[in-house]
Amino acid sequence: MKALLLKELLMIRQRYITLTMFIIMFCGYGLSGNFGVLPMASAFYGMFLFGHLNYDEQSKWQAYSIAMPYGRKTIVSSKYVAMLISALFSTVLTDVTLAIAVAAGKAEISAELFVVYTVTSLVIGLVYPLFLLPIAFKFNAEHSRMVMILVSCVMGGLLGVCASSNFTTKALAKFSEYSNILPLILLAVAVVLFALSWFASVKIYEKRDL
Amino acid sequence: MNAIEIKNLTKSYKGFTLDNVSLNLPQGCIMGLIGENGAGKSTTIKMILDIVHPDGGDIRIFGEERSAVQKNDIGVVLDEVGIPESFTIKDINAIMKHSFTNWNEKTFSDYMTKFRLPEKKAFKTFSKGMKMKMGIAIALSHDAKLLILDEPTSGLDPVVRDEIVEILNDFTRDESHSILISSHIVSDLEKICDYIAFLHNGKLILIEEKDRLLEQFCFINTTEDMLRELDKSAIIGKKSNKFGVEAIADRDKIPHTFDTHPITIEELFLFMVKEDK
Repeated sequence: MKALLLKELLMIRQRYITLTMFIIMFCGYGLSGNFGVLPMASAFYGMFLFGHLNYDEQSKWQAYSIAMPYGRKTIVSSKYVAMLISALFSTVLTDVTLAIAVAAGKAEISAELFVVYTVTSLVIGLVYPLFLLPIAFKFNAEHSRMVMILVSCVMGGLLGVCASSNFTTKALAKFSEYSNILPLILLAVAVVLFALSWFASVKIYEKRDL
Repeated sequence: MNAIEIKNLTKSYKGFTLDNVSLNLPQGCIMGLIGENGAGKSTTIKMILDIVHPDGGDIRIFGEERSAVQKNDIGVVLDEVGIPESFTIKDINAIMKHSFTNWNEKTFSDYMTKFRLPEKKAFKTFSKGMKMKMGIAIALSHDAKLLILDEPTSGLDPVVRDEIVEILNDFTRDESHSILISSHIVSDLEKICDYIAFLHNGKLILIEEKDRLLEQFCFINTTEDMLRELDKSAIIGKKSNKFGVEAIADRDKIPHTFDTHPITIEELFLFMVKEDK
């Protein structure tokens, strides 16, 4: 699996300028006090990896990788591990941005709210691809591209709404009232969804002709 | 021992069925899978490699059930080499090094030099011939005992095709090495194959040693009347024109009085396919 993860990393390098611009944009926006955008940005980082499935099909990597010493389960699992790493990366970015904002005196965030932001970033980073991956493994690149465009439009719209209305910030502040149990519930839901999505993708991919 | 054993392999798509294909590739031999476009060559190869699932039948490699680990011993070149487009030689080496247990960086590097592939250019900038050479270099750099090649010479110029045929010839100097190669460029296969398998419309219509085919079948120039007097099974295919009939016949089933000429595998293939149409 190490080689499959390395392949994902090398493919990100191809679009590092775009990714860097996204990071600067989201972190900059977050630093200006719009913290609500930070958890939503997790979905965009996941989208980068999700887009690799299209590239894989275009370059015929999907068929080629099965001709290599990998089982289909390993190939699917590598995508999920990559998504997990992406979600952790975006969570770290969220935390660092929040910490800088607090240190710079841009905002005051309670420890409970900090935990809620952290968990929400992680969960959004995970849940978004978890729904798309089984669809991508079931259908061809064209289908998954259409689904990705659709979801991206929805995410973009949501991001706009969140940024303009400060909805996410308010919602997260509200959630922080239940901060003793909410992160645990969110994490538990994400773990269950992760397991279900992975299981469904493996079953789908094991039956698929490429 | 057989490198590949296929029994009653079947796969149905809408409008196409690969029908009950059985073949054995003995270890140390090269088998050419010949057929027109859409005959079922790629489907057969993809099922051997588990890229496509068979509806029925059994496939064994070196006498064992197929497994992911076993693919360390199989070098594969598909009709399109599936390397991500942005990858350079260095990236490809890094990926393969961590994929194949017996990956040999020195061998890979030597092939890169031999094939004069550009070190720093992305795979997407490679020509079709360069991409195919890269696929072959990868297949030959992990000490594979079996090569499975799907149309490796398709779309390449004669010089590159000849180079590839040479490389495959070198590979089989080791008696434990075997090759299954598909192509619709029959002349390429004729140069290197020990066995020939004809696929037509999803059916395996003939599988035989190449030398045996060349011995067994011959050209005859005759007339329709003389042809009618022959046993029907003696004629594999024929072409009629206003001067007479050109046919491919089984030497053992025609009288010695016939004037015969040697055939090529390409001619045999063309006559068989056209006869069927």
